[in-house]
Amino acid sequence: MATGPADAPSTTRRVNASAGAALPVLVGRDAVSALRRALLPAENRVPDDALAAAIGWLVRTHDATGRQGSSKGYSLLHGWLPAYPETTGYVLGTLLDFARRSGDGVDLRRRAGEMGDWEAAIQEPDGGIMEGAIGTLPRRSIVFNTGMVLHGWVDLLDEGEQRFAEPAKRAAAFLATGLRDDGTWDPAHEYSGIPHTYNSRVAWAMVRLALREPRDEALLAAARRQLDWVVAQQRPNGWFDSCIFKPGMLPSTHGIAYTLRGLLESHALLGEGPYLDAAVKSSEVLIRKLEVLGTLPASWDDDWTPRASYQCLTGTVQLGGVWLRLHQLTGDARFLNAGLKAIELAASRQERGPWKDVDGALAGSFPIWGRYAPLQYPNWATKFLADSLMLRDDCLVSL
Amino acid sequence: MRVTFVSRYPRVDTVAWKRRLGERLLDLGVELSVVYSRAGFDDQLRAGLDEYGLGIFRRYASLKARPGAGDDEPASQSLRSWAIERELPVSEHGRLGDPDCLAAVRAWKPDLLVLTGADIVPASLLDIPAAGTINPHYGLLPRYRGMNVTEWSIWHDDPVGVTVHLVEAGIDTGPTLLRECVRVEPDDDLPDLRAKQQELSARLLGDAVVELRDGSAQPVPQRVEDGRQYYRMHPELLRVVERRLSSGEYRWTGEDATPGAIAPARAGAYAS
Repeated sequence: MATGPADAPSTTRRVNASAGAALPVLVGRDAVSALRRALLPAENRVPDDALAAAIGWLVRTHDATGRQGSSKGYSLLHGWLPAYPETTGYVLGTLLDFARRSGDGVDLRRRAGEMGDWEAAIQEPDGGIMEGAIGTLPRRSIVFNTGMVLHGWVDLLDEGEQRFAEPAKRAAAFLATGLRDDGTWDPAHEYSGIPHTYNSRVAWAMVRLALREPRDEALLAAARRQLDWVVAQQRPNGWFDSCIFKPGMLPSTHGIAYTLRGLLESHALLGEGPYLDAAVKSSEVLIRKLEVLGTLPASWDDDWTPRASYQCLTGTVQLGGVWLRLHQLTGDARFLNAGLKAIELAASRQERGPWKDVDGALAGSFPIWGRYAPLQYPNWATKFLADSLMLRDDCLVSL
Repeated sequence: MRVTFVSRYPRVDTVAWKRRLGERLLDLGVELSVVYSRAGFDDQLRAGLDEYGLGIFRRYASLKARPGAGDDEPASQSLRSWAIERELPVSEHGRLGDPDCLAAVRAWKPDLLVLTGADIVPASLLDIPAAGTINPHYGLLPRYRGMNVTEWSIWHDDPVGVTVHLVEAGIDTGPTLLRECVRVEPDDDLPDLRAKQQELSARLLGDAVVELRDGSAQPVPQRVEDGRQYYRMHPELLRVVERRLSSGEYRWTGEDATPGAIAPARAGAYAS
């Protein structure tokens, strides 16, 4: 989630010497790069091995924890961060997707299975998945985290790993029973205690599980109720109320992309037109912003005025993926056009070089000191980079 | 009738179609003047790099080597030098919204502004002419608004053409006046089509001026929902468009369109 490093456990707060040494170099590089971008047109080239490098770095996030989940990421101040249950849940799906494409995915499949097992081992008694990094106390089940791990278990079920049927069922029960009549969840299990439109991604996970045999109509109805609530939060100009992580924040590209992807994939599975229409409406606005501004600032106010001077690279690359999926689902090449641009805009910031701890990773922000996960390479940024690069490959092959 | 060309100098000021349009309007007895927004070198370089990247230098070399379609004048002659030779009023300004620019245009009391490759025109300038402002759009409105619409038309296997329309505050949304396809020959590439569109736009702009002068113009309002806004095409998609053109896969030759006729709308040509 977009919470940055603030909730990392105190044991990681000591400054890591080797990471700290690179800090001035990387900050200086981004300063020069930001200046260059202001003066010259962008040449957003994506190296041929960008995807493999991203996957390689995600594998290192697994090794960094002793293969006990995927590290939350790499901090230039603190080094490797502890395992992060929420995002480990969806990182494993990326590894499986790449394994299917590479044809040599034994190690990746094994790792994905290990991540799934680790998640099952830390699943809360109520079926939910805990808040924050591993080690966070007190432990509390969070709706979004549970949904993201449910995605991972469904991915593994799709691979024939039946041992994940039971934890998936328990997670789904936690989600379905906690959902209220209005389509929002009990605040006690919401991050920051408020409803979030990005929980459409949770509903998408519920739909995925519900459509497996035996079909679960009650779970499907619950998911629809949540998705209908999300659509109702959209204003006529495409902006979403409740598309925030914490009270007082503005919507970020990361949260908007989560929201749109959940709606879009739910449409793909259910055929519900309003979910697609909502994703298109916000996308049209953001695509225009990308074209006019040449970049995608991290946050927006309710008339779509940009309110950040930095990019949230995660959000940019996620939106690129949303637009490629919109192209795949509608055939509208304008979304392909925008999706390629957004992905390349973010992918051109992928870290490459001899320093293995970050080689292949995508930072939270550009410049790296931006307020979204500052001075950090969160595992989810690279996960979405890899996902979007795979989608990009699919789209380019079809041209 | 008094007509003011609104153009940009020196970038895109040497193309012959502007001079030919000017000659035609002078022959028709139009009182012509020209107002420029004058870009500095850094603005020009930046605009070129924004549009073409480092390929701007290759493009510049190829354009210098390519004779313009029907171009019988030195390629280096600008509309500005052509106008000065004919002792037409010419005024240059940093920006079209500058007070001295607005004052100069008001003093000419134009009935009509004709955009001939202009920067974005401020409302304060659009308010001056009584008959309005017309613009040539290198695509068939209302379907194709925005940028690279020739390329997008080929992508969708739709006809390529030019629309002359009245200018409103929105982008390419004003009522259309004249619309026509260009014929696409088997060997045509995108620069060939651009040259044909330039020649066609000169003719259609001249026709539109005549119709507006004679009171026979029939503006057709656009409905935004009848078209789409397009943006600069990504290089990967552009490669597909170039391939479709060079391979003959692009099947619209313009032969089905009666010359001078409005291109027919074709249902299902692009996704909703």
